Amino acid sequence: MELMRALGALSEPPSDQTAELCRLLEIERPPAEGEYETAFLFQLYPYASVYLGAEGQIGGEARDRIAGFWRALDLVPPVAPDHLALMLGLYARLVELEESAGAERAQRGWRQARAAFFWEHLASWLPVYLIRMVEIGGRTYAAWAEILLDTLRGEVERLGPPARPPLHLREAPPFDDPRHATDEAPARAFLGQLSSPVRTGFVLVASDLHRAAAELELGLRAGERRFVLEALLSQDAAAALGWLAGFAGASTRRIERPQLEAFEPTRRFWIERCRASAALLGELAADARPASGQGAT
Amino acid sequence: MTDTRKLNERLSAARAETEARGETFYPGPSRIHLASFPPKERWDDWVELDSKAWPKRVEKRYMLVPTTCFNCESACGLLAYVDKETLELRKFEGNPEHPGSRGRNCAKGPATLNQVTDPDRILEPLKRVGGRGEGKWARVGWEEALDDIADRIRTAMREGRHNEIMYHVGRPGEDGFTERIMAAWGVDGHNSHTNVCSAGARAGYELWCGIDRPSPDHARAEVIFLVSSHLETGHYFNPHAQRIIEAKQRGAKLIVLDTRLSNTATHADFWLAPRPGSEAAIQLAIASYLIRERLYNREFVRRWWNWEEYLRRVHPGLEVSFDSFERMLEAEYESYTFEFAAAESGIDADVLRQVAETVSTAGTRLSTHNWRSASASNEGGWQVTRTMFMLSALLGAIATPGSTYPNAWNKFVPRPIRLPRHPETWNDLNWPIEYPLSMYELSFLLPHLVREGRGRLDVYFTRVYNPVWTNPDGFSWIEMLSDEEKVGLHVALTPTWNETAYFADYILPMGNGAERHDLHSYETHDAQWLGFRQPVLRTARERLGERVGDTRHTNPGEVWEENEFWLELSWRIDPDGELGIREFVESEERPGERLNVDEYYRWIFENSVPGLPEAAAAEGLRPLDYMRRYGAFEVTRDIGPLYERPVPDEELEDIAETDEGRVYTRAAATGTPNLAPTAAPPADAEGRRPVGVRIDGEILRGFPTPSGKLEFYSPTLAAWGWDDVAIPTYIKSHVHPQNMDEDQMVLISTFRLPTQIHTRSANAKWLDEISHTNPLWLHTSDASRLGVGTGDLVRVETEIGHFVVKAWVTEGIRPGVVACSHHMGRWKLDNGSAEGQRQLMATVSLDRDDSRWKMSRKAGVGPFDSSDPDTRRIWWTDAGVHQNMTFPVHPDPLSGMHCWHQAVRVVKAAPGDRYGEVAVDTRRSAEVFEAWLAKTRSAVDNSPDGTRRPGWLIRPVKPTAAAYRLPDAKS
Repeated sequence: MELMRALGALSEPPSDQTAELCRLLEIERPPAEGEYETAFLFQLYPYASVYLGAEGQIGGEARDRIAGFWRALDLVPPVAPDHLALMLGLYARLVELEESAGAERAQRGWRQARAAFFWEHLASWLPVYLIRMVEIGGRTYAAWAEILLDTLRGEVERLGPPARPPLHLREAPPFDDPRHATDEAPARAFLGQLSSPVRTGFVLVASDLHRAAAELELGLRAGERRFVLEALLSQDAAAALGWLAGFAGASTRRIERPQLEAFEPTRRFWIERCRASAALLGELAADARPASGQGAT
Repeated sequence: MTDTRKLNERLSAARAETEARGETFYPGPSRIHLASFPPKERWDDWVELDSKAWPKRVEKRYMLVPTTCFNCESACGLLAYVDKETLELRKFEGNPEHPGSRGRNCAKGPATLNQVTDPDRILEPLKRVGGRGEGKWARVGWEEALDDIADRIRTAMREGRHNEIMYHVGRPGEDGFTERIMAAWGVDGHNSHTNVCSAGARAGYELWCGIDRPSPDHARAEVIFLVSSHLETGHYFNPHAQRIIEAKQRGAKLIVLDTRLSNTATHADFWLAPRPGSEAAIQLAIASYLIRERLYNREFVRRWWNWEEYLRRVHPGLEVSFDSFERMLEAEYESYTFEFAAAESGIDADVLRQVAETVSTAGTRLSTHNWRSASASNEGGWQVTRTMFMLSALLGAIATPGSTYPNAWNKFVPRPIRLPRHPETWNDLNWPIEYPLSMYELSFLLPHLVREGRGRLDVYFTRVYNPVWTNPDGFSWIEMLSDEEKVGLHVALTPTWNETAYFADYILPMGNGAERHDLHSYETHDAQWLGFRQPVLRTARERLGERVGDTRHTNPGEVWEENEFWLELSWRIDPDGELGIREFVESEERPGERLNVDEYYRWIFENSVPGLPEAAAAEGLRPLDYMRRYGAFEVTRDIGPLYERPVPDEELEDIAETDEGRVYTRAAATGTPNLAPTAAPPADAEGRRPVGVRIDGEILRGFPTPSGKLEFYSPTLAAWGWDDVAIPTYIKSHVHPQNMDEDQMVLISTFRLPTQIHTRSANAKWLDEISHTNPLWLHTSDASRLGVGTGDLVRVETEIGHFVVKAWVTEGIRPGVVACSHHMGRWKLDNGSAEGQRQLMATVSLDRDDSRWKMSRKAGVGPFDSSDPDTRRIWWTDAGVHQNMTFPVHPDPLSGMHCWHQAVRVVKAAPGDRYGEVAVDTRRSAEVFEAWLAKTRSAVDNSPDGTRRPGWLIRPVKPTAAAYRLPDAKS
């Protein structure tokens, strides 16, 4: 499964080998200057924990679960076991171990490990990640995302559907309604949840917020996503929430595309989360609108 | 839709093609293959930005040449960065091709650069021109020095004074080269530092399994059990530490017995700070629990312990059955309760129980390790490793994944081009008759043995060794070295100034880790690997097509490497072959000429390292070129329990078998290219060699012990007068409370600073800046009692003198115990000469009044002008205190190990006391020597067979069987 490994290598910073890998993968051209940084460092961080964790940040319980998989295989987990390059590298290794296992029993065991890793830790988030990369990754990384998505679909055909949805998703906390919040700092918690894909169902990146500010004609304050969101909401909460509701709706449609149909039941989870978020954000936007006749001053 | 199958095939083919060229398909810092090192195919031309040119982007081109670190024993791999423009060394990083260190190093590895560029290093051979110790030197050519030394040695040999030639080595950093040189000379003059280091630990291991070092497989262990004051922070800091951390990341439990809160202890799940000397009691309490609760691996014990021999010898009236043995085993250890161990160690019995329960969960994945620490500090310390190994042996955790292996199975020492004969002499100065069971030479007793008139030295080499500073009782060493009647010629082979070299006649500059050839293999995991140290600039020049004569042509100044030196000296000692030495150092390829290092290593790599020629050929290289390129080779891995391997039928010829199943054969031994040291169990009465042991009807390889099994009961100890300790027991230390006065405390002096290594790293400015003092660790309660605070001066009084040091008040040590690292306290003489390491040596004066000596600190460290601008930036003044001088010799009567712990009185410094002051009465130190000598059980009274020592025990440079005979027996 060298393809998986090579695709993983491309999620690393470009090296002398990148151009050759692109050529072998029939990607039209290697990344232009700054293309990697824009795609992976500023928009779509290549760490599973960002998309599967309740906090939307690198590390935490989601990373621990992935590290646990390494341990279950009697391997020492690396420092960042949820980095996409490592995850694809490990998956490639599991495929090789299955293919090289002599005894049928051993082969079955490796197939089981491969399927578990695929559904639990790859298919649980990569489809929604990759369709966003197709949109905003630039020519090289959009092409890369298409190939990886096709590769994952091929794996679904080989492995068949999982017995049940991944633990990451089964145990994912919901996007809490801030009107019922008990947190000491509900606004901060709300902002945090908006940045957590597994709660909201959508993958909100920096360029989305830039677009929101432009469309809403609000001031854009440069910073990380929570900071930008806070600035937008503080300027015009209703408009910002309304925009986010629309974004959630668009994300629902994005995931509903036939391209992702293969990834049931994880796809269903993401669609339902998106729909629920769209509804909640719509309500919050409505609540935030000023009463009739009282325009903003 | 992408054709993923086609892409996959194309990628696989490209990768295979790339790797077939010996190149890396996923290069650069990448998580794909942990390839965060320069890819090996670019080692000839590696480009980095010059950090000194920042912010300009200036490219520097390097040639990367592997070698191995020479600072501690681990021999970790280094990659030297040679500037291609200037051919100068720029830096050292880890060598990713090295199986032991895997590209990772501790601080001491990169600091090799400091040692190379040290402005105070010795660059030319020097000859004394004043009195010994006066500090007057003149440059001398190598030719003159070699001829003078060779002539003296030749004369001694012709006159039959072989025992007057001695080579005294500190950390060897190589496997066997110089031992073989000594053997080729026919002298029994190899003298190692082992008895101030690891003899205690070795005894415990060797008596159990015939191999005297452990090889813990920490990475795969479930429970790691360490008796350690520095194990994982000094000696094997890097290879073991990285594997312990891997195990911990997997969830393994770490148990550390260490009276002091060491770096290792800070990582422990159980940190036990026992009363010094009580470690064996704790281990026996754990063993007793395992036995009592039947939590041990009964099948392993039944198969592999020599329980039948124990029953026949100790309980002759009992039926020889495993049931009988289990009953006796339980009875032997029933008194070692947790409460008993608690009373001895001062650790709560419930905690000890928890530790025992944790050990019991390990199954065969218990890795245990002790190398110095308690076994090197206490009278009877050898029982610390013997009782520790017992835990492994109870659980069957011997040479199974995650357990402890005998090190010889995880080590590879290749057979050289020639093996010399056994010397025909026995040197009583190294192997005194009172210590027939000592593990290695009684090196630290030398001044006392010479003073007693047991012999003298005509030519004495100290090689990267500094006994005046390192050994206990340094003033007795100065007395001996200053006396030309006792030591005719002292030759110090050293890369740098040291306290012993001041008392030499010749100082010959030897290379550092990047300036010499050596082969080295160490136990880091269940594998056998070979590391190749090489003179980096010589290899770099050869890669560029130059022909290099010898290493002096590429090393700084006239610095040489030892191997070439020994070959040349041997050649000159016996120019015509009269003494039988020349044949061992003559070239096979060029008869009549001296063997050179290229031929020596070429022969080894082509003939003695299985798999290396094939691996080299796969890359289109010759074996020597392969080793020069990669610096290491893994010979084999996953060796496993060798003892369980059946003996092949062809090795079983006219066999004989004892009642206990030891099998002997007349078939000749199959040659092995691996000379890793193991014991040599004796032949049977008819001359058959031991080949295996019958277990449940099958003849298996077993262990290299007389019985072929794990010797829970040591018939050797019993036969040589030590039947009272023939099974693992607890011996109360010389610092047991019952042996100390109430106002005395125990001084722990053996612990290390992770960034220094004895005297070897004082010439490394980066390390000196990090570590340059050794205050006395003092518990808060003791500090309060004494009325001292951190930084206050205290006087530490030993049996023979005292030293004055600063206190460091801490909760990190057990009350009633103090500790002072021995890695500090370097000094140079205030005699008008400038010799010494100015970065980390205080200036002192030595005053003598008959047997009373006093060292007074005249000046600390400070900035100075040199070729290195950093020496103007030295901001520290402290260099620590030299405590070892105030310790008398404490030779363990059985193992010969110096027992480092001291019973001391710690008092507030008197008004006249000055920091760094040391005072000693050597007459008193002679009395202490005599008192410890009286504890021995001499071979004269206890030898069961008229020999000086059991022939089967490991011994460097084993003499002939005739030389083993006791003097009276000979006649």
